[in-house]
Amino acid sequence: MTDLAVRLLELAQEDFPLDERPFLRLAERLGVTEADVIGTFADLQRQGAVRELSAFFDPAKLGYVSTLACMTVPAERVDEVAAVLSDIPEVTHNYLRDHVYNIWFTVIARSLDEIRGIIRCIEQRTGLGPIRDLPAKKVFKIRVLLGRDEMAS
Amino acid sequence: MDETDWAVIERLQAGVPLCERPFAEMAASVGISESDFIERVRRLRDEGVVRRLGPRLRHHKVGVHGNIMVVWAVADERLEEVGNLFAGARCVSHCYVRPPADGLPYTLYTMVHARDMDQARQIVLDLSRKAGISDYRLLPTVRELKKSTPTYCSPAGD
Repeated sequence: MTDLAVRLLELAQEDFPLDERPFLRLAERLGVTEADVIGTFADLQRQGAVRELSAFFDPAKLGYVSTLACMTVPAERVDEVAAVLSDIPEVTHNYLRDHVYNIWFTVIARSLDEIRGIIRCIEQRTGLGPIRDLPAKKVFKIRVLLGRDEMAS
Repeated sequence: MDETDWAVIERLQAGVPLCERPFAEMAASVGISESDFIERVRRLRDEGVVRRLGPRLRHHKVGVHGNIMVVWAVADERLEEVGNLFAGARCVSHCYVRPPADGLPYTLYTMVHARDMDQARQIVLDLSRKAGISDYRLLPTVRELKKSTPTYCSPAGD
């Protein structure tokens, strides 16, 4: 990534201006033109480094609840179970990890009952379980902020 | 939140367009003025509904290759102290208290990010020493099977 790209990503993660001309405000702080900023974002999206410029929400304030769950899946059934989870829109993330519980996924829905229902449904469809439901009891931090220390150029 | 707020929220989820006046463009699709749109986003941010606006990054594509989930067995009476310590570390993006389960004696769940896995492991070691927590486990991703952005929609739309 270019130096401008790294500086722009650092700044935009920290403080995206709520202003009629947000890209101009970012450009002023970086000492470049508005077209440079828009062009750099476009390049980053094209390269896939930026999925999108978007908003990050607090699910609870929108009336949603979420959980992290894990289950033990035999190695030869990982792809099949992954396909089941991929079909469920409420399952947003799913990772294979090196642990007795090897499949770890997040579920987000409108209520705890709905989440429990989805988990029961996964157990029934796969015949595996019990799925361990690990809802957060307290959140100390949720803030992905990546900067030049983390980004290899 | 009223229905117009929800229209703003739904429009934001579709992504901020790359043009000189992105809020004007988004406002037009919602059918309100640019200033009303910005004002609503500002209020939603002040209320904590919108945490922030900004780029969603693909970690590997921006060169962040050391991303590890680390789970820690922290006694209840130390959760507050250790949770705040970890949350204060720049390289920790998520820090949650979760209940222990069968085979999972862990109570504090964190995500650590660094340039590469070696650096991430070093950070975890430093955190463990600082907190005095030796019972922890690194659960690096073997394979990403699904990663999507949740879609939030108005309850009235059900």
